[in-house]
Amino acid sequence: MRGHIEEGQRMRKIAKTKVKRKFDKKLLFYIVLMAFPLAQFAVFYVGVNFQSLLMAFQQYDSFETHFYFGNDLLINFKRIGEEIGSLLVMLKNSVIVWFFASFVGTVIAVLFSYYIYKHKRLGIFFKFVLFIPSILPAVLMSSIFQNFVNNIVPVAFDSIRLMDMVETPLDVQFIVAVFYTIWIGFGTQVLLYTGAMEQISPSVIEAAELDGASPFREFWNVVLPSVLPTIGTFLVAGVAGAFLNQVNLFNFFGGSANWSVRTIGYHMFSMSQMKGGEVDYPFLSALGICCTVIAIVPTLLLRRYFAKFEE
Amino acid sequence: MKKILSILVSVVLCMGIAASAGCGGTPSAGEVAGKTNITVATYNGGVGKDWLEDAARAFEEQFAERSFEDGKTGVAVRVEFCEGADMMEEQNLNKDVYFTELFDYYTYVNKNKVADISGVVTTSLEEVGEPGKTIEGKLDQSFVDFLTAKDGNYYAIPFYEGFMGFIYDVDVFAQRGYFFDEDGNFTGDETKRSLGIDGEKSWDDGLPETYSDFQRLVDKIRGDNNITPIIYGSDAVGYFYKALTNWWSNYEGKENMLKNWDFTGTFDIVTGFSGDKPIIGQYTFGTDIASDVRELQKQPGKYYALKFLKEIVCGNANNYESLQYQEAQEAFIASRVPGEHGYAMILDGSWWENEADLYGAFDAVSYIDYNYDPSGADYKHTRRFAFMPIPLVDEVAESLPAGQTHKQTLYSGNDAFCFISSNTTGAKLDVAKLFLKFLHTDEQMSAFTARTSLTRALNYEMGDADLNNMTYFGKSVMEMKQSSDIVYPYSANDYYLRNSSNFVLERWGWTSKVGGGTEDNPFVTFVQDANVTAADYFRGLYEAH
Repeated sequence: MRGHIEEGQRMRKIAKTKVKRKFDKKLLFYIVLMAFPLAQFAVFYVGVNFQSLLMAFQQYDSFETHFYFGNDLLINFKRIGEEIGSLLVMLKNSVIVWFFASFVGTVIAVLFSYYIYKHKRLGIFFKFVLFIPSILPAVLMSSIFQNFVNNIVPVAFDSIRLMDMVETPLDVQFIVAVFYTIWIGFGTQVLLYTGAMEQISPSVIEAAELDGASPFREFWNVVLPSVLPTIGTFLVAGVAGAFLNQVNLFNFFGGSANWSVRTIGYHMFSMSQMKGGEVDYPFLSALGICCTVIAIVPTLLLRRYFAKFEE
Repeated sequence: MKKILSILVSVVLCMGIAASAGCGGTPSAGEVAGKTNITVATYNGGVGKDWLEDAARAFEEQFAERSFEDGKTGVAVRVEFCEGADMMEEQNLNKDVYFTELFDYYTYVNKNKVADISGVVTTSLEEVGEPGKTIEGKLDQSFVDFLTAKDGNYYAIPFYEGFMGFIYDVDVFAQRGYFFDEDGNFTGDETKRSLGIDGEKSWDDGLPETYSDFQRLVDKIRGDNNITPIIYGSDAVGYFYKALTNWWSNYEGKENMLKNWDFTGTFDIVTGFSGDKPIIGQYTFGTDIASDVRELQKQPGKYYALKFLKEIVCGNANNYESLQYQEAQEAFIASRVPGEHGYAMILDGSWWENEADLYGAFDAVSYIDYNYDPSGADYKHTRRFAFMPIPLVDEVAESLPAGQTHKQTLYSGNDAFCFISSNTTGAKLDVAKLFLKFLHTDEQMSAFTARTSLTRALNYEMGDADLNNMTYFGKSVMEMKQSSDIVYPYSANDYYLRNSSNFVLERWGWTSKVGGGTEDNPFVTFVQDANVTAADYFRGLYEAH
């Protein structure tokens, strides 16, 4: 009896140790797994955004090379007021870019994805060709495109250069930049939407075909509702990033694009890249806060709208 | 095995990333045994590194027998290119000496990235063969004040000067008769050239003295076949506002121009316009500098520079053409080649010739120029280019008393400096300091200019041999420097130092509120909107600051 008790105690001890060891290993694995992303989140999201918020109320001392709180904490927001004329033009440009990139671009991409999904003629070839720009470096693609519209198009069509900072009318510069942005993002969108369409159960499509649904009805009633959550995610992300979109202007013109064609995203980036750009960081932080305030309502509304389809 | 393999792959990848990080890398690789080694990095731009290789060999030779550390005799200097002049701040500065541009001096100083080189700058250069002289003695006062403002120490030395403006093809001017003679007529005979703005035989002979002369010149060129007055780099449009700054400086003169950075005293401002004539008044800095500095936007030199750009350069769309900047340089070099479309002038910087040479533009053109005899000097030395002097505002020229001439004022603000990394210590630091001293002897600075056609931002004399070896363009740059006042945009004024980022040319120079929007490049604005006048743009400068 005593032996059984001792044996039982020994077994429990071993089991406890095993459990403890097992638990420790799991915990260690979990910590290792989560430490890096959490640290990254803490530093590059929480830390950066917190610093950015503080910076909106600071000024920069070029001699001591540090940021400080001056007497006027709202000085950067007042500067936004002083520059409101130019900023509104950039805001308008950002909204136009967002509209075309998000809505027009998405409509074309979804239709084209459906074409590829239905394995129509040359669908795979188009998919490959459209995706090439997404594989190549952005600077390289922009250079090729700029060379094409500045050197080939004028010779071929006896026109002016289409992307020259001086020669090209500003509205043409902007239209070409928007076109390029939609075109360059097209491949990624098509890949996403065809991927989403491939997830639709073949039996659903087959049932629709047996019911005699035309390709349009099949697209409208079966395919589109199935990929709406994907489209919704894309559109919501588009609103949230509307003020970050540079329309590739930095690739075309460096930091010198004309103010009339600038978007908020480009303006913020090019100002921060300018020599002595630190002096503008507080202003850019304040501008970033204002843009967040503007973007937050449409983002939440759009998110709420598309959440219905996810249910 | 898999684990080991993945660790090895990770290590190799990390090493690859470290090695590819611009100026990073391991300095010990490739060192010469038995000598004290240093590595010098220079920005991979228009200056190149050939001059530095030459200097390094001369330095090694001069100090071949000296020991800087136990067991080693002599020095070895390795020269490397450093990509991205403005990105070095992000990296560990593990080279010993750096030559760079777009250098933010106080950022580097405050982050302790640069070594104190006061001893190098203030002590005699006797050790490197130039007794009785110091680097400090060769520096402009603006640099001295700015560099020592923090604690009285030097942490960097100015590198090269970047002058911008019109560079003309002397051969084409002679071939086509674009020089002015003493009677104001055009001539191709170089012996009959007028004496120019300085009134004596020099680099500016036969060239436009006033805005009106320049207008006549571009009109004449435009009227000729197969030639365009001006070419510029379509991807270097920013050069226009740097050239504008030169024209502005030339009107203001050094003393008035420096007020944009030292914020003291009284200066001229435009108080209004009578027709298109500016009414000139005066303004004196008070105690509220933050408010007073805005008045500098009313300096009349700015208006006249804009007027020159608007009415003469942009006065006719056929006055200018653009190509990608390297193509523009090559097309300009090919201007004298029969059958090629010519360009009389290029808008570029003083580094253009060296830059074009580095990527082979001169060699390329030499193959199509049948006037060139390859058995003689290299093509670059047979071609004649020179800086165009800045013409005077007509009213200024007319108001000069008889016999009095005008001294040109140039602006040089490319923030090019050299320094020693604070990571360099021991014998390497000693050698790095000695190398900096060596490079700042007149002999070495003269060699630099002879090799690159660029000038150092210090005062020095050219050696006769170097002068003889220079290209025509190089001689013109040196002559221009020696006969001009040069403005360097630095001072030790406290307001300037604490807000210096606001006074960089890109912000302070030409940003204007015009036509309901903001513009920062007058050339682009004038071409894009023909209705915007020089006065409109000028008024907008004040509004925008």
